[in-house]
Amino acid sequence: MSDLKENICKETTFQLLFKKNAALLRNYLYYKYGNATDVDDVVQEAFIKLWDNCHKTTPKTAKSYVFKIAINLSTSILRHNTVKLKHQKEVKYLNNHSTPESPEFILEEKEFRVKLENAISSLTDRQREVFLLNRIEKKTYREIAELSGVSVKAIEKLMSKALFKLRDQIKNMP
Amino acid sequence: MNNENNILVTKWLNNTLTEAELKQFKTTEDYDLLVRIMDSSAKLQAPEYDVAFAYQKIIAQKNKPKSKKWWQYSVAASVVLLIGFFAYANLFSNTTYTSDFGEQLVFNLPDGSKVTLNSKSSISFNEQDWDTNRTLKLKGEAFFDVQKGKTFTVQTQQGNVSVLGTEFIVKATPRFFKVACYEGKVKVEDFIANTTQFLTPTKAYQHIEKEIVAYHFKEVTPQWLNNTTAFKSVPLKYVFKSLEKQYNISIESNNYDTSMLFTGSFPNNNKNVALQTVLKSANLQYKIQENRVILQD
Repeated sequence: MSDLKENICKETTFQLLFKKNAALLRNYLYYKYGNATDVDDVVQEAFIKLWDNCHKTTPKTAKSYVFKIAINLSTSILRHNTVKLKHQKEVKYLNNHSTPESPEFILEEKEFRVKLENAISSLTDRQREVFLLNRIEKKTYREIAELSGVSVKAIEKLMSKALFKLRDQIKNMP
Repeated sequence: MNNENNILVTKWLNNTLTEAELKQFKTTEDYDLLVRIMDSSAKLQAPEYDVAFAYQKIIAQKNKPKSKKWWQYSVAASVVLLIGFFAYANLFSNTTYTSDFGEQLVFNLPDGSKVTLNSKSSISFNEQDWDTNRTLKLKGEAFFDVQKGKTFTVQTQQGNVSVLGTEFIVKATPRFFKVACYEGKVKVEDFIANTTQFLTPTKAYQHIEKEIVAYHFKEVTPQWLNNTTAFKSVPLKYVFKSLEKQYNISIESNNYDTSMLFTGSFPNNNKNVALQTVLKSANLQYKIQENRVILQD
Protein backbone atom coordinates (compact mmCIF):
# COMPACT_ATOMS: atom_id res chain seq x y z
CA MET A 1 0.00 0.00 0.00
CA SER A 2 1.35 3.40 -0.86
CA ASP A 3 0.53 4.54 2.66
CA LEU A 4 3.42 2.52 4.02
CA LYS A 5 5.93 4.31 1.86
CA GLU A 6 4.49 7.74 2.50
CA ASN A 7 6.39 9.65 5.10
CA ILE A 8 6.80 13.27 5.99
CA CYS A 9 10.47 13.69 5.19
CA LYS A 10 9.82 15.77 2.09
CA GLU A 11 10.04 19.42 2.95
CA THR A 12 6.80 20.35 1.22
CA THR A 13 4.91 17.68 3.16
CA PHE A 14 6.53 18.72 6.42
CA GLN A 15 5.81 22.38 5.79
CA LEU A 16 2.14 21.66 5.20
CA LEU A 17 2.00 19.69 8.40
CA PHE A 18 3.59 22.55 10.28
CA LYS A 19 1.26 25.16 8.86
CA LYS A 20 -1.72 23.02 9.78
CA ASN A 21 -0.79 22.13 13.33
CA ALA A 22 1.81 24.48 14.81
CA ALA A 23 -0.59 27.18 15.95
CA LEU A 24 -2.91 24.74 17.71
CA LEU A 25 -0.02 22.97 19.42
CA ARG A 26 1.43 26.24 20.53
CA ASN A 27 -1.89 27.51 21.91
CA TYR A 28 -2.51 24.18 23.63
CA LEU A 29 0.79 24.50 25.50
CA TYR A 30 0.24 28.17 26.15
CA TYR A 31 -3.16 27.62 27.76
CA LYS A 32 -1.59 24.99 29.97
CA TYR A 33 1.68 26.63 30.93
CA GLY A 34 1.71 30.28 29.92
CA ASN A 35 5.05 31.90 29.03
CA ALA A 36 4.91 32.35 25.29
CA THR A 37 8.67 32.28 24.54
CA ASP A 38 9.41 28.95 26.21
CA VAL A 39 6.29 27.47 24.66
CA ASP A 40 7.41 28.59 21.20
CA ASP A 41 10.76 26.89 21.83
CA VAL A 42 9.05 23.64 22.76
CA VAL A 43 6.94 23.76 19.61
CA GLN A 44 10.07 24.32 17.53
CA GLU A 45 11.91 21.49 19.29
CA ALA A 46 8.96 19.12 18.89
CA PHE A 47 8.63 19.74 15.16
CA ILE A 48 12.36 19.34 14.65
CA LYS A 49 12.19 16.02 16.50
CA LEU A 50 9.25 15.08 14.31
CA TRP A 51 11.24 15.84 11.19
CA ASP A 52 14.25 13.93 12.52
CA ASN A 53 11.96 10.94 13.01
CA CYS A 54 10.08 11.42 9.78
CA HIS A 55 10.47 7.76 8.81
CA LYS A 56 8.62 6.67 11.92
CA THR A 57 5.35 8.33 11.09
CA THR A 58 2.87 8.99 8.29
CA PRO A 59 1.03 12.21 7.46
CA LYS A 60 -2.04 10.78 9.20
CA THR A 61 -0.33 9.98 12.48
CA ALA A 62 2.06 12.92 12.48
CA LYS A 63 -0.27 15.23 14.36
CA SER A 64 -0.72 13.04 17.42
CA TYR A 65 2.97 12.12 17.25
CA VAL A 66 4.14 15.73 17.42
CA PHE A 67 1.65 16.46 20.20
CA LYS A 68 3.03 13.54 22.20
CA ILE A 69 6.58 14.75 21.69
CA ALA A 70 5.63 18.26 22.75
CA ILE A 71 3.75 17.12 25.84
CA ASN A 72 6.73 15.01 26.91
CA LEU A 73 9.13 17.88 26.35
CA SER A 74 6.94 20.29 28.27
CA THR A 75 6.69 18.26 31.43
CA SER A 76 10.42 18.62 31.85
CA ILE A 77 11.03 22.03 30.34
CA LEU A 78 7.99 24.15 31.01
CA ARG A 79 6.71 25.26 34.36
CA HIS A 80 3.48 27.08 34.93
CA ASN A 81 3.64 30.79 34.30
CA THR A 82 0.92 33.37 34.05
CA VAL A 83 -1.39 32.86 31.14
CA LYS A 84 -2.19 36.26 29.65
CA LEU A 85 -5.12 36.28 27.33
CA LYS A 86 -6.49 39.15 25.34
CA HIS A 87 -10.04 39.96 24.58
CA GLN A 88 -10.63 40.08 20.86
CA LYS A 89 -11.12 43.59 19.62
CA GLU A 90 -14.84 43.87 19.39
CA VAL A 91 -16.41 46.10 16.85
CA LYS A 92 -18.45 48.67 18.68
CA TYR A 93 -22.02 47.85 17.98
CA LEU A 94 -25.35 49.09 19.22
CA ASN A 95 -27.14 46.64 21.46
CA ASN A 96 -30.60 45.24 20.83
CA HIS A 97 -32.38 48.24 22.16
CA SER A 98 -30.60 50.58 19.78
CA THR A 99 -29.10 52.66 22.52
CA PRO A 100 -25.31 53.00 22.79
CA GLU A 101 -23.61 51.17 25.64
CA SER A 102 -23.29 53.36 28.68
CA PRO A 103 -19.89 54.08 30.21
CA GLU A 104 -21.01 52.20 33.30
CA PHE A 105 -21.74 49.15 31.20
CA ILE A 106 -18.38 49.32 29.45
CA LEU A 107 -16.61 49.65 32.78
CA GLU A 108 -18.50 46.75 34.26
CA GLU A 109 -17.63 44.65 31.21
CA LYS A 110 -13.94 45.49 31.69
CA GLU A 111 -14.12 44.59 35.38
CA PHE A 112 -15.80 41.30 34.61
CA ARG A 113 -13.08 40.40 32.14
CA VAL A 114 -10.40 41.06 34.74
CA LYS A 115 -12.23 38.85 37.24
CA LEU A 116 -12.61 36.16 34.61
CA GLU A 117 -8.93 36.25 33.65
CA ASN A 118 -7.84 36.06 37.27
CA ALA A 119 -10.20 33.16 37.83
CA ILE A 120 -8.82 31.39 34.76
CA SER A 121 -5.30 31.72 36.16
CA SER A 122 -6.43 29.95 39.29
CA LEU A 123 -7.51 26.83 37.43
CA THR A 124 -5.20 23.85 37.46
CA ASP A 125 -3.08 23.43 34.32
CA ARG A 126 -5.30 20.62 33.05
CA GLN A 127 -8.57 22.40 33.79
CA ARG A 128 -7.35 25.52 32.05
CA GLU A 129 -6.00 23.60 29.09
CA VAL A 130 -9.34 21.85 28.52
CA PHE A 131 -11.50 24.90 29.20
CA LEU A 132 -9.62 27.23 26.86
CA LEU A 133 -9.26 24.65 24.10
CA ASN A 134 -13.02 24.32 24.18
CA ARG A 135 -13.90 28.00 24.53
CA ILE A 136 -11.22 29.67 22.41
CA GLU A 137 -10.21 26.99 19.92
CA LYS A 138 -13.78 25.61 19.74
CA LYS A 139 -12.54 22.04 20.08
CA THR A 140 -15.05 19.32 21.00
CA TYR A 141 -14.48 17.08 24.00
CA ARG A 142 -13.61 14.25 21.67
CA GLU A 143 -11.00 16.34 19.85
CA ILE A 144 -9.48 17.47 23.15
CA ALA A 145 -9.45 13.89 24.42
CA GLU A 146 -7.51 12.80 21.33
CA LEU A 147 -4.99 15.60 21.61
CA SER A 148 -4.18 15.00 25.24
CA GLY A 149 -4.48 11.24 25.22
CA VAL A 150 -7.23 10.78 27.82
CA SER A 151 -10.87 9.65 27.76
CA VAL A 152 -13.79 11.87 26.81
CA LYS A 153 -15.20 11.28 30.29
CA ALA A 154 -12.05 12.74 31.80
CA ILE A 155 -12.42 15.84 29.62
CA GLU A 156 -16.07 16.24 30.66
CA LYS A 157 -15.03 16.13 34.31
CA LEU A 158 -12.27 18.67 33.82
CA MET A 159 -14.60 21.01 31.96
CA SER A 160 -17.21 20.83 34.73
CA LYS A 161 -14.63 21.35 37.44
CA ALA A 162 -13.22 24.31 35.56
CA LEU A 163 -16.60 25.97 35.21
CA PHE A 164 -17.50 25.38 38.86
CA LYS A 165 -14.21 26.88 39.94
CA LEU A 166 -14.64 29.91 37.69
CA ARG A 167 -18.17 30.47 38.94
CA ASP A 168 -17.16 30.16 42.59
CA GLN A 169 -14.08 32.34 42.19
CA ILE A 170 -15.95 35.13 40.43
CA LYS A 171 -18.80 35.02 42.93
CA ASN A 172 -16.29 35.47 45.72
CA MET A 173 -14.53 38.42 44.16
CA PRO A 174 -15.62 41.84 45.43
CA MET B 1 -28.72 21.88 47.26
CA ASN B 2 -25.51 22.98 45.67
CA ASN B 3 -24.88 19.49 44.39
CA GLU B 4 -28.19 19.36 42.55
CA ASN B 5 -27.35 22.58 40.75
CA ASN B 6 -23.89 21.32 39.88
CA ILE B 7 -25.41 18.23 38.32
CA LEU B 8 -27.59 20.45 36.14
CA VAL B 9 -24.56 22.52 35.14
CA THR B 10 -22.69 19.40 34.09
CA LYS B 11 -25.65 18.21 32.05
CA TRP B 12 -25.93 21.66 30.50
CA LEU B 13 -22.27 21.52 29.47
CA ASN B 14 -22.73 18.06 27.98
CA ASN B 15 -25.97 19.04 26.29
CA THR B 16 -27.93 16.30 28.02
CA LEU B 17 -30.60 18.39 29.78
CA THR B 18 -34.21 17.48 29.14
CA GLU B 19 -36.59 20.29 28.19
CA ALA B 20 -37.96 20.42 31.69
CA GLU B 21 -34.50 20.40 33.24
CA LEU B 22 -33.39 23.19 30.93
CA LYS B 23 -36.33 25.32 31.98
CA GLN B 24 -35.49 24.74 35.62
CA PHE B 25 -31.82 25.43 35.02
CA LYS B 26 -32.53 28.80 33.47
CA THR B 27 -34.23 29.90 36.66
CA THR B 28 -31.28 29.09 38.94
CA GLU B 29 -29.49 32.11 40.37
CA ASP B 30 -26.15 31.28 38.76
CA TYR B 31 -27.53 30.83 35.26
CA ASP B 32 -26.71 34.32 34.00
CA LEU B 33 -23.22 34.21 35.46
CA LEU B 34 -22.51 30.83 33.89
CA VAL B 35 -23.69 31.99 30.47
CA ARG B 36 -21.59 35.09 30.79
CA ILE B 37 -18.50 33.08 31.74
CA MET B 38 -18.95 30.81 28.74
CA ASP B 39 -19.60 33.67 26.31
CA SER B 40 -16.90 35.96 27.58
CA SER B 41 -14.23 33.29 27.63
CA ALA B 42 -15.08 32.39 24.04
CA LYS B 43 -13.92 35.86 23.07
CA LEU B 44 -10.44 35.50 24.54
CA GLN B 45 -7.31 35.04 22.45
CA ALA B 46 -3.85 33.68 23.00
CA PRO B 47 -0.91 35.97 22.10
CA GLU B 48 -0.21 36.12 18.38
CA TYR B 49 1.91 33.41 16.85
CA ASP B 50 3.78 34.05 13.64
CA VAL B 51 3.61 30.65 11.96
CA ALA B 52 5.75 31.64 8.96
CA PHE B 53 8.49 33.05 11.17
CA ALA B 54 8.46 29.97 13.39
CA TYR B 55 8.81 27.79 10.32
CA GLN B 56 11.80 29.81 9.09
CA LYS B 57 13.51 29.17 12.43
CA ILE B 58 13.08 25.44 11.97
CA ILE B 59 14.55 25.56 8.47
CA ALA B 60 17.47 27.62 9.74
CA GLN B 61 18.13 25.10 12.49
CA LYS B 62 17.88 22.21 10.04
CA ASN B 63 20.40 23.82 7.70
CA LYS B 64 23.06 24.41 10.35
CA PRO B 65 26.01 22.20 9.40
CA LYS B 66 26.17 19.26 11.76
CA SER B 67 29.59 18.05 12.84
CA LYS B 68 28.30 14.47 12.52
CA LYS B 69 27.88 14.79 8.76
CA TRP B 70 31.45 16.00 8.44
CA TRP B 71 32.80 13.03 10.35
CA GLN B 72 30.83 10.73 8.14
CA TYR B 73 32.05 12.15 4.86
CA SER B 74 35.53 13.30 5.77
CA VAL B 75 38.25 11.41 4.04
CA ALA B 76 40.70 13.88 2.67
CA ALA B 77 39.90 16.72 5.07
CA SER B 78 42.74 17.43 7.41
CA VAL B 79 42.43 16.49 11.03
CA VAL B 80 43.10 20.04 12.16
CA LEU B 81 40.24 21.38 10.03
CA LEU B 82 37.84 18.79 11.44
CA ILE B 83 38.76 19.44 15.05
CA GLY B 84 38.55 23.18 14.45
CA PHE B 85 35.09 22.84 12.98
CA PHE B 86 33.87 20.53 15.73
CA ALA B 87 35.01 23.02 18.34
CA TYR B 88 33.26 25.81 16.47
CA ALA B 89 30.00 23.88 16.25
CA ASN B 90 30.06 23.32 20.02
CA LEU B 91 31.04 26.86 20.91
CA PHE B 92 27.50 28.09 20.83
CA SER B 93 25.75 24.96 21.97
CA ASN B 94 24.98 24.06 25.53
CA THR B 95 25.37 20.76 27.27
CA THR B 96 22.17 19.77 29.01
CA TYR B 97 21.37 17.09 31.56
CA THR B 98 17.76 16.27 32.37
CA SER B 99 16.50 13.80 34.96
CA ASP B 100 13.30 11.82 34.80
CA PHE B 101 10.67 11.00 37.43
CA GLY B 102 12.24 9.33 40.45
CA GLU B 103 15.66 9.59 38.87
CA GLN B 104 18.86 11.10 40.24
CA LEU B 105 21.53 11.95 37.74
CA VAL B 106 25.16 12.37 38.79
CA PHE B 107 27.71 13.88 36.49
CA ASN B 108 30.92 15.88 36.50
CA LEU B 109 31.46 19.32 35.17
CA PRO B 110 34.60 19.96 33.10
CA ASP B 111 36.52 21.17 36.15
CA GLY B 112 35.73 18.09 38.22
CA SER B 113 32.92 19.71 40.19
CA LYS B 114 30.19 17.17 40.81
CA VAL B 115 26.46 17.68 40.30
CA THR B 116 23.65 15.42 41.49
CA LEU B 117 20.31 16.24 39.90
CA ASN B 118 17.13 15.33 41.74
CA SER B 119 14.00 14.09 39.93
CA LYS B 120 12.57 16.03 36.97
CA SER B 121 15.26 18.64 36.95
CA SER B 122 17.58 19.96 34.32
CA ILE B 123 20.89 21.75 34.06
CA SER B 124 22.56 23.33 31.08
CA PHE B 125 25.96 24.93 30.63
CA ASN B 126 28.54 25.75 27.99
CA GLU B 127 31.37 23.25 28.08
CA GLN B 128 33.75 25.24 25.92
CA ASP B 129 33.55 28.29 28.13
CA TRP B 130 33.74 26.45 31.43
CA ASP B 131 37.35 27.28 32.25
CA THR B 132 36.74 31.00 32.19
CA ASN B 133 33.11 31.13 33.21
CA ARG B 134 31.67 28.57 35.62
CA THR B 135 28.01 29.39 35.10
CA LEU B 136 25.12 27.00 34.63
CA LYS B 137 21.32 27.18 34.45
CA LEU B 138 19.17 25.09 36.75
CA LYS B 139 15.50 24.19 36.74
CA GLY B 140 14.44 21.97 39.64
CA GLU B 141 16.78 20.73 42.34
CA ALA B 142 20.46 19.75 42.47
CA PHE B 143 23.31 19.17 44.90
CA PHE B 144 26.64 20.75 43.98
CA ASP B 145 30.11 19.74 45.11
CA VAL B 146 32.26 22.50 43.67
CA GLN B 147 36.00 22.42 43.15
CA LYS B 148 37.94 25.46 44.29
CA GLY B 149 38.46 27.88 41.44
CA LYS B 150 36.83 30.82 39.76
CA THR B 151 33.40 31.90 40.95
CA PHE B 152 30.82 29.20 40.33
CA THR B 153 27.32 30.49 39.59
CA VAL B 154 24.00 28.67 39.43
CA GLN B 155 21.38 30.68 37.56
CA THR B 156 17.70 29.98 38.12
CA GLN B 157 14.52 31.86 37.37
CA GLN B 158 14.04 32.59 41.05
CA GLY B 159 17.56 33.74 41.86
CA ASN B 160 21.30 33.23 41.47
CA VAL B 161 23.62 31.33 43.77
CA SER B 162 27.39 31.81 43.66
CA VAL B 163 30.29 30.18 45.49
CA LEU B 164 34.05 29.80 45.31
CA GLY B 165 34.40 26.15 46.25
CA THR B 166 31.93 24.41 48.46
CA GLU B 167 28.95 22.03 48.81
CA PHE B 168 25.38 23.24 48.62
CA ILE B 169 21.95 22.46 47.23
CA VAL B 170 19.64 24.65 45.24
CA LYS B 171 15.97 23.98 44.71
CA ALA B 172 14.50 26.32 42.13
CA THR B 173 10.96 25.71 41.00
CA PRO B 174 8.27 28.34 40.53
CA ARG B 175 7.36 29.82 43.92
CA PHE B 176 9.76 27.49 45.80
CA PHE B 177 13.34 28.65 46.00
CA LYS B 178 15.64 27.06 48.56
CA VAL B 179 19.39 27.03 49.07
CA ALA B 180 21.20 25.07 51.79
CA CYS B 181 24.93 25.23 52.47
CA TYR B 182 26.83 22.14 53.55
CA GLU B 183 30.39 23.42 53.27
CA GLY B 184 32.15 26.67 52.47
CA LYS B 185 30.24 29.88 51.85
CA VAL B 186 27.40 30.54 49.45
CA LYS B 187 26.01 33.83 48.15
CA VAL B 188 22.28 33.77 47.39
CA GLU B 189 20.54 36.42 45.29
CA ASP B 190 16.76 36.20 45.44
CA PHE B 191 15.24 37.96 42.42
CA ILE B 192 11.75 38.06 43.76
CA ALA B 193 12.53 39.31 47.26
CA ASN B 194 15.32 41.42 45.81
CA THR B 195 17.73 40.48 48.59
CA THR B 196 21.17 38.93 48.91
CA GLN B 197 22.30 36.62 51.70
CA PHE B 198 25.37 34.66 52.57
CA LEU B 199 25.03 31.15 53.91
CA THR B 200 27.58 29.16 55.87
CA PRO B 201 27.38 25.44 56.70
CA THR B 202 24.13 24.25 58.35
CA LYS B 203 22.36 27.40 57.20
CA ALA B 204 19.50 27.31 54.70
CA TYR B 205 17.38 29.96 52.99
CA GLN B 206 13.87 29.14 51.82
CA HIS B 207 11.43 31.34 49.89
CA ILE B 208 8.06 29.70 49.20
CA GLU B 209 5.45 31.96 47.62
CA LYS B 210 5.53 34.91 50.04
CA GLU B 211 7.12 33.20 53.02
CA ILE B 212 10.84 33.60 53.58
CA VAL B 213 12.51 31.45 56.20
CA ALA B 214 16.16 31.23 57.21
CA TYR B 215 16.92 28.18 59.31
CA HIS B 216 19.56 25.81 60.61
CA PHE B 217 19.71 22.14 59.81
CA LYS B 218 21.97 19.36 61.03
CA GLU B 219 22.34 16.87 58.17
CA VAL B 220 25.77 16.65 56.62
CA THR B 221 24.47 15.83 53.14
CA PRO B 222 21.02 16.39 51.64
CA GLN B 223 18.56 13.73 52.69
CA TRP B 224 17.51 13.03 49.11
CA LEU B 225 20.98 11.76 48.37
CA ASN B 226 20.14 9.14 50.98
CA ASN B 227 16.81 8.21 49.49
CA THR B 228 14.74 10.47 51.71
CA THR B 229 13.01 13.71 50.85
CA ALA B 230 12.67 16.06 53.80
CA PHE B 231 10.73 19.29 54.31
CA LYS B 232 10.67 22.00 56.89
CA SER B 233 7.49 24.09 57.15
CA VAL B 234 6.53 23.58 53.54
CA PRO B 235 2.94 23.94 52.29
CA LEU B 236 1.34 20.60 51.50
CA LYS B 237 0.93 21.30 47.81
CA TYR B 238 4.71 21.39 47.32
CA VAL B 239 5.09 18.15 49.23
CA PHE B 240 2.57 16.66 46.82
CA LYS B 241 4.54 18.04 43.86
CA SER B 242 7.67 16.30 45.16
CA LEU B 243 5.80 13.03 45.60
CA GLU B 244 4.52 13.35 42.04
CA LYS B 245 8.02 13.98 40.68
CA GLN B 246 9.59 11.18 42.63
CA TYR B 247 7.03 8.49 41.87
CA ASN B 248 5.54 9.70 38.57
CA ILE B 249 2.01 9.84 40.00
CA SER B 250 -0.65 12.48 40.07
CA ILE B 251 -2.40 13.46 43.27
CA GLU B 252 -5.95 14.58 42.64
CA SER B 253 -8.42 16.37 44.83
CA ASN B 254 -10.12 19.70 45.32
CA ASN B 255 -10.70 19.76 48.98
CA TYR B 256 -7.58 19.83 51.05
CA ASP B 257 -5.90 22.76 52.68
CA THR B 258 -3.06 23.33 50.24
CA SER B 259 -1.41 25.84 52.55
CA MET B 260 -1.13 23.49 55.54
CA LEU B 261 2.54 23.32 56.54
CA PHE B 262 4.39 20.03 56.59
CA THR B 263 7.61 19.28 58.44
CA GLY B 264 8.86 15.75 58.02
CA SER B 265 10.13 13.38 55.36
CA PHE B 266 9.19 10.49 53.08
CA PRO B 267 11.28 7.67 51.61
CA ASN B 268 12.19 7.83 47.92
CA ASN B 269 12.08 4.12 47.29
CA ASN B 270 8.75 3.06 48.75
CA LYS B 271 5.69 4.67 47.25
CA ASN B 272 3.16 3.23 49.68
CA VAL B 273 5.07 4.22 52.77
CA ALA B 274 5.75 7.65 51.30
CA LEU B 275 2.06 8.28 50.56
CA GLN B 276 1.00 6.92 53.90
CA THR B 277 3.47 9.07 55.80
CA VAL B 278 2.49 12.31 54.13
CA LEU B 279 -1.25 11.78 53.79
CA LYS B 280 -1.76 10.32 57.24
CA SER B 281 -0.03 13.21 58.91
CA ALA B 282 -2.32 15.54 56.98
CA ASN B 283 -5.32 13.47 58.04
CA LEU B 284 -6.32 12.67 54.48
CA GLN B 285 -7.97 9.49 53.22
CA TYR B 286 -7.01 8.36 49.78
CA LYS B 287 -7.25 5.56 47.25
CA ILE B 288 -4.74 4.57 44.60
CA GLN B 289 -5.69 3.84 40.99
CA GLU B 290 -2.61 2.87 38.97
CA ASN B 291 -0.60 6.07 38.95
CA ARG B 292 -3.35 8.28 40.31
CA VAL B 293 -3.83 9.02 43.97
CA ILE B 294 -7.33 10.27 44.62
CA LEU B 295 -7.90 12.11 47.88
CA GLN B 296 -11.31 11.69 49.43
CA ASP B 297 -13.05 14.63 51.01
